[in-house]
Amino acid sequence: MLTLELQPVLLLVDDEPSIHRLLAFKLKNEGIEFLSAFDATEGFELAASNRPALILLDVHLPDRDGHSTLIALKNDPRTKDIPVIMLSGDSDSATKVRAFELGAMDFVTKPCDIHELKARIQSAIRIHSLMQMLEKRAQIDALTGLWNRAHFNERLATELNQARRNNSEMSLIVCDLDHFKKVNDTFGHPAGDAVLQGFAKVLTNELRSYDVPCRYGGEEFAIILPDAGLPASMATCERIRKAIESKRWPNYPDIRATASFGITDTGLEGAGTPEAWIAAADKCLYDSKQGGRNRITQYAPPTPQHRLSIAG
Amino acid sequence: MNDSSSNTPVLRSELSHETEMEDLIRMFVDEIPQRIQNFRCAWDRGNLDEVRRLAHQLKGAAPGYGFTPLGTSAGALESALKQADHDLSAVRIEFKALIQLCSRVAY
Repeated sequence: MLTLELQPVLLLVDDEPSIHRLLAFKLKNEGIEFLSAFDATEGFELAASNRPALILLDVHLPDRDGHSTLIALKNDPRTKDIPVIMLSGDSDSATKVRAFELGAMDFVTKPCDIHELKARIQSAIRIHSLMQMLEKRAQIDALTGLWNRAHFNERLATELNQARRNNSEMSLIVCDLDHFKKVNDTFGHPAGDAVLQGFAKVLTNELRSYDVPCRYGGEEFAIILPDAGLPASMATCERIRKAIESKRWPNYPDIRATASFGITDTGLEGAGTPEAWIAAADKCLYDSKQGGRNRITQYAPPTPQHRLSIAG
Repeated sequence: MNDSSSNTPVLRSELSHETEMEDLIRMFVDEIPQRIQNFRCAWDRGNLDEVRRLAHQLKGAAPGYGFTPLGTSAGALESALKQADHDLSAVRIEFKALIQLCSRVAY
C-alpha cells in the first residue's frame, strides 16, 4: 500500500478567469494545490482524472449548468465521493436547496468574503479526509494492519472483473498458519498475536506494492496477486513459505511457525466467480494441510480420467 | 491616470493599499477594456444572454478586486435583464451605467 502524503488538490470550475487568479492567490499559503477548469466538460474531466479533495463548482457555466454537472459528478464512481461546494451569484433559497438535494456539501454566494471561503474550503477538506480515513479504517485489520475480509470480498470481485476485461493474469493465494492453536495454548495469546503480526510483516516484505494481502479471519490469510500467473505466484509463495519457516521470534525463542498454502490462477479458473476462486484455493490449502503442512498446492483442473470417472 | 473622454473621477480599487494584491488588481484593471468590448459586441449583436452572462461574471469577480460599485452595477444589469420582457429601456439604462463605470476604472 503505497500512499504519498500530498497536498490536497482543489478544483475550481468557473468561467471567470479573474476568480481563478484571485482564489489561487488567496490560497497560496494554505497548503492547497490549485486546479482550474473554465467549463463543465473540462471540470468533469479534471475531476475524474485528478480526484481532487474538493470541487468548487459555479452554478452558471457556459456549456452546461452547474446543477446537471453536480448530478454527473455524483453519478460517476470516480467522482461521487468528492465534496462539492457550489458557487453562485444567486442567493435565492431554491437554488441553494436544489444544490444540497443533489449532494453538494456547501453553498457559497458570490461575491464572497475570501476569509469565509477559505474557512469553508478548509472545513470541507478536513471532513473529506476524515471520511476517507474512516472508510479505510473500516477495511483494515487492527492487529496486523492488513486489509480485512470485507475489503477482500469487495476487492476480489473488482480484480477478477478487471483481469477479465484486460485479459490479464491473476492469482489468489490462501494460507493458514500451521498448528496456530498450539502456539496460543503453549505460549499464550500475546505470542499468538506476535506470530500473526510477524506473518503479516513477511507478507508485506515479500509482496509487490500492488498485491493485496488480507487477513481472512483467525490465522487464515488471502492474497490477491494482480498480473501474476502461476509461475510467478508460486515463486512468491515459496519465498513466503521459506521466510516464515526461517523466522525467529526474539521474545519467544522456542516458537517455530510455518504455514500451508493453496493457489489458484486465471489460466485454470478463468471463468470462475469469486466464490469459485476461493473454493478452488481452499481445496488446495486443504490438500497442503492433509499432505503434512508447510507446503504449497496449486490448483489443477480435474484430469481426464477424473472427468471420465465422474461421467461414468 | 484619467479617462480623457470624460471629466468623471476615476474608480480605484478599495484594496489598492494591499500591496501584495497589486499585480492582481493591475491585471484586472488591464482587462477592463476587453470586458467593455465584449459587452458592446454582445449588445450590438442583440445577444442578451451573453450580456447577462458577462454581467453575472463581473458581478461575482469585481468585489474580490475591491471594485464593489462595479459589482453592484453589473448585478443591477443582470436583474434588469432577468425582469425584462419586451421593454428594454431599464436594461439600456443599466447597460449604459455599467459601461460608464467600467470606463472610469483605473489603477
